[in-house]
Amino acid sequence: MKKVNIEIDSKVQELEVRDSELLIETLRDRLGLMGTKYSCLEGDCGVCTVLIGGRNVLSCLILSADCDGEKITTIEGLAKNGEPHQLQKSFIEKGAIQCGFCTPGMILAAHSLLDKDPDPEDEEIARALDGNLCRCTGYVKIIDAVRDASQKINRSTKS
Amino acid sequence: MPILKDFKFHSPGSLNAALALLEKARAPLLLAGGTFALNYLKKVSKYPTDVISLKKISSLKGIKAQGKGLWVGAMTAIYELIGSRAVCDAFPSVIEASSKLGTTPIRNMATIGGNIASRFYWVDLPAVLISLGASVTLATKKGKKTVALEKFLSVPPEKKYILTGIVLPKGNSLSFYFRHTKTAQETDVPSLGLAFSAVKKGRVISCARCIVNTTSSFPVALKKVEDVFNNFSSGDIRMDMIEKALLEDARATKLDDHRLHLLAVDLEKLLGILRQKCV
Amino acid sequence: MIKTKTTSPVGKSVPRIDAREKAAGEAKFVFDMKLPGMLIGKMLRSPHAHARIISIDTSKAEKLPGVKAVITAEDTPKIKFGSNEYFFPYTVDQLPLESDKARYIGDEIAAVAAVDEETAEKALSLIDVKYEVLPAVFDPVSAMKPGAPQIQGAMNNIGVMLPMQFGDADKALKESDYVREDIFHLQSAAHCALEPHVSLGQYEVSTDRITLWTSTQAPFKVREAMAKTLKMDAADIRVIKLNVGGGFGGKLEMFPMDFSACLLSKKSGGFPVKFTCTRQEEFSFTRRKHPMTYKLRSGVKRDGTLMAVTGEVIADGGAYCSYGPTVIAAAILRIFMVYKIVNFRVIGFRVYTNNPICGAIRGFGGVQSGFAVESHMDMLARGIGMDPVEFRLKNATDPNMETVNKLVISSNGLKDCIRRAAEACGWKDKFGKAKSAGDMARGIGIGVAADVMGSKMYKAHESAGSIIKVEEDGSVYLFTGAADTGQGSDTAMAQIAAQELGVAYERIRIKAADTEITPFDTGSFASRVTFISGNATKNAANDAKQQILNIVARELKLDAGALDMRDEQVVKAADGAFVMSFDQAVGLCYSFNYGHLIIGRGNYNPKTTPVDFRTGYGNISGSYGFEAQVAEVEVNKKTGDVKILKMYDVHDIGYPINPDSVHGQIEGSIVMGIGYTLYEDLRFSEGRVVNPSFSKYRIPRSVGIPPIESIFVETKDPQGPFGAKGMGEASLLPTAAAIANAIHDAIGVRITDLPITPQKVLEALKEKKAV
Repeated sequence: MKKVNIEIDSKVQELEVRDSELLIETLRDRLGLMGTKYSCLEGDCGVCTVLIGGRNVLSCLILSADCDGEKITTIEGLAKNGEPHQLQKSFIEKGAIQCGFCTPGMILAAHSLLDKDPDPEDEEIARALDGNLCRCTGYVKIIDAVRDASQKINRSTKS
Repeated sequence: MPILKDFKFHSPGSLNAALALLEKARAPLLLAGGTFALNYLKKVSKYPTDVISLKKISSLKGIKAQGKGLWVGAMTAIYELIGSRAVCDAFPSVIEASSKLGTTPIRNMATIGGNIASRFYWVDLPAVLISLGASVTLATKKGKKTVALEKFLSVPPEKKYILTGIVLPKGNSLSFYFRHTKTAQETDVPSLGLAFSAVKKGRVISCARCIVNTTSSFPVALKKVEDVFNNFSSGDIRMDMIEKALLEDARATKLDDHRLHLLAVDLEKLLGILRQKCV
Repeated sequence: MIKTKTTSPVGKSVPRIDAREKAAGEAKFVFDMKLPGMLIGKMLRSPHAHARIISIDTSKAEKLPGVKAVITAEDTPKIKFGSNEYFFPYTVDQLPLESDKARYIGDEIAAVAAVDEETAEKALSLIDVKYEVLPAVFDPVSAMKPGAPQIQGAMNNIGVMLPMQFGDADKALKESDYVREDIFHLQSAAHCALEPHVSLGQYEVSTDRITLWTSTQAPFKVREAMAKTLKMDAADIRVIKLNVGGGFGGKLEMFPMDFSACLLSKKSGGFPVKFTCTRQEEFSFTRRKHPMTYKLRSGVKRDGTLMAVTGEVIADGGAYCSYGPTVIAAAILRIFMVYKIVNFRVIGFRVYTNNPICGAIRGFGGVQSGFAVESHMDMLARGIGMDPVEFRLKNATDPNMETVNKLVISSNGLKDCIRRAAEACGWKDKFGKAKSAGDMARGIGIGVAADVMGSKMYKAHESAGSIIKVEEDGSVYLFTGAADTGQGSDTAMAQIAAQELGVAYERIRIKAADTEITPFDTGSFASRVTFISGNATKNAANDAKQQILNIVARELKLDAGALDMRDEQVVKAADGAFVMSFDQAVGLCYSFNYGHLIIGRGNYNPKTTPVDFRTGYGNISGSYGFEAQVAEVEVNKKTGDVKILKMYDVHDIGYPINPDSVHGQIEGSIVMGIGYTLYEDLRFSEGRVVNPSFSKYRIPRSVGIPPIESIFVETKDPQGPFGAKGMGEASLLPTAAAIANAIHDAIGVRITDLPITPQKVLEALKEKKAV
């Protein structure tokens, strides 16, 4: 077992994890954060996406013991004071959610993009989501939603 | 769950500490970005006793000028490589290959050292780095040494070393990378790659390197084609000369007709670019 | 707390009813479920493609500490299940756990439940199965030859043979001015729902009852198969669906893991048992698309009249029938919804092989026939020098007609779809005027399709039911058996209920797809839910509304028929004048004088006629949906790379209950279709899937998705709820042909086998040059 300090969704947690424990296991089995899914466990599908230091990474390919001192954001940590993040709102309003299994990872991947590039072109949005599979939407409304969120965030930061 | 079987995890803070752990462990596994190593562990029965993360070793990070070239720390993530001004200015083919590697989250996690040390001859980077004459810096308990990447990849590794960085020598003023996938899906793994690099002085081209990522074997050099490009200055190169050279090289590449055709297409494109650049 | 109030929600793109919890990561899937004492279930599968089971010894596995139960066929009643019981009772051919023979690599032989995954895996390795390996056969043509290994006892391994014949095809071919024969090859494919198949079964010892949570598209179908194979009363089995992470036809039946989870729970003394498929298992051992070879020989008159269609369809069905028989039937019969054909002779064979099982997948045979038929029609049109758009307009079906095989088509916007698609893409200026620039060539192609909205699969009726209760506080609960797997049926049902009841969409709370508390529904397939379950919901809401209006009328001494409800008010039907608010009306129902609990009920069984699949006669669906699709492509003549520049989809959807949801279904279908056309290819070697991962089986990613222009043709179907039709599958059907036709327009070569890889394009170009 390894003792690690990880900041998860703005809360520092002192955890004891198995040496070989994957981050996806810590989140789901130890902390009950079930919003992070898994599907292929090979790094191909993106449904296990979380943010580490703001960047989208795959929690099925990360050892929890290797996360000591990291800042991790899961889908559960995006809303602030019960108010959903603009990306969540835009996904809801733009019809970007169908079965919902890819949604948490997709929203986090988009979050990572908007952090770096608040005003991305559609092609840049598509590129930023290339690690997240969706079998329902054909990605069209997902890209619409990210564009919508970026415009609304930019408008609110300007005003 | 659990998904992975038991092993002991270490996260040394220095290269020496890592080397000491490496020496002591019976069956160690070095962990860089994890995108290959942890995936691999899900599928094999031969298991490491110790997994040594290199994440906390600051000396393995960063991109620095070294001589006329660049030293890229082994733990440099692919996204950092893509974002590097210095790499972009001097080695555009590295950027081209790196931005096609995996997907965004994989590029956020994977490192250049992990990519090389995993010996993926079928991915994009090795052919490109070989074409640029890159070498790798290695650390063992005996000391440090530098080995040409081509050699490092072609002969089995000595046991218990840590790859500390990649050296990109300066001097290749031209570098290009062309790739194809079986599906024409951009995010697919390559089915063929062609890395070209050369030194250009005025209208004269020298030191041309044409390395093919066949994806089924170790990267192959198109020696005859290189010769043709090296004679670029001596007059007009015509496509039929390149095609003839390619046919001679073809035997070494073991490429099927389809891939050979694509290679010819790439070389024609390359020729067009070089003509423009060398007017 | 209701903040917004959307009244008259039908026709509006209201947010999905489940979108908030999905965006927050709070939506619960069976995948996420954990119960106290839960055990992990694992399946022992045959390593052989064809083998006799000599003996199974589970004693070592049972003794392993942590193992709570092991089952084999000997623990089961050995009753077979199938998916086409109603139409094809003789195709019920699979045991939940096989007892005598394994017929494909992955056939379920035994199952274990243990305290954790590691122990369960260990236990599997301790089960000793003695096999006698039998000769196996992997392609349908060899399987049909005399002397081929016999897989199920069907003559020549032909699971189903469907000879369909109408009119006099031979005579019509003779009278044709132009006849051509083409052969098309269609590959296998995987559903790739992101949530894997998950089953969580719990047996209750004291009551001898079972609860099964399963990621399914058809909970009532699962309950029926469970009751049959476990020899239990359906009343003692409760099947619950939570959120389902995609289905696409792959979760439409009971799976051996559903059965095993429950039986293992029983054998372990009541501990819950959970099975979760790995991605590799998903690709290898669930269901897959039928690979088909389509041979078509058809004739046309010089004026474009389609005289006759003849041909043969051979499908590799794999080791068991699943939904295969109706898939083949649907593949063959779909053409009648689209083209006015009177002379027809096509024979279909679904052949047993020792490959994994083929079953339902979005499109239900229509994707395969869509590619073959729509490519073939293009080739016929070109053969007589006719514009493919004109050719289709000439032969397209009309509204209010009966086809030669007795399909009753009422509303039909097909010709409108074709015309508007041609207008939208600028067909006249583009077709036949392929633009080349250097190595790049652009082209345009069209394909058309039609779809059913419902089809009886396993029952004589196809009814769906809904219940609506309006509580004293004005809250409205909708109970429906419809199974939302992400397509948005819960939202559509809530919109329909709110519209009919005249209340705000946000009032509706929905409880769906729980066999113990919701009315019956056959499931999510055949694009049926909006049409059939939607009508049931509308009827239930109307029933509740009439109850309220009757009391209001009685109280105010008015005629109930002169009242209506809309926008949260009771109004006069004639002029919309305000009578009282919805809340006041509900208060009145629950008052001292009336004490009336408002519970509305509704059901709907579509108007169809009996279908005989041996002959092909009969009206299978209550209505039909239509569409035309255009692809614009750019082909790199040097590399063979095909880039889709734009897709146009014009769809007769009747009326859109939720326009954004409808567009979303169309976009999702088209992109799935592009994947199948260009790269999806589930490949096999000696019965084993060779690419069971997302890295090797490529599905579309976010990069390179073309712009999609989706246009509705609103025919307001007289049978549909508020005029709506089903539309979940049709947009997938013509995509491959539209793309192949566009490639032909661009570079003059015809690709007849999917997927269209760069290598095939180059080879075809080379062949063309050589000619």
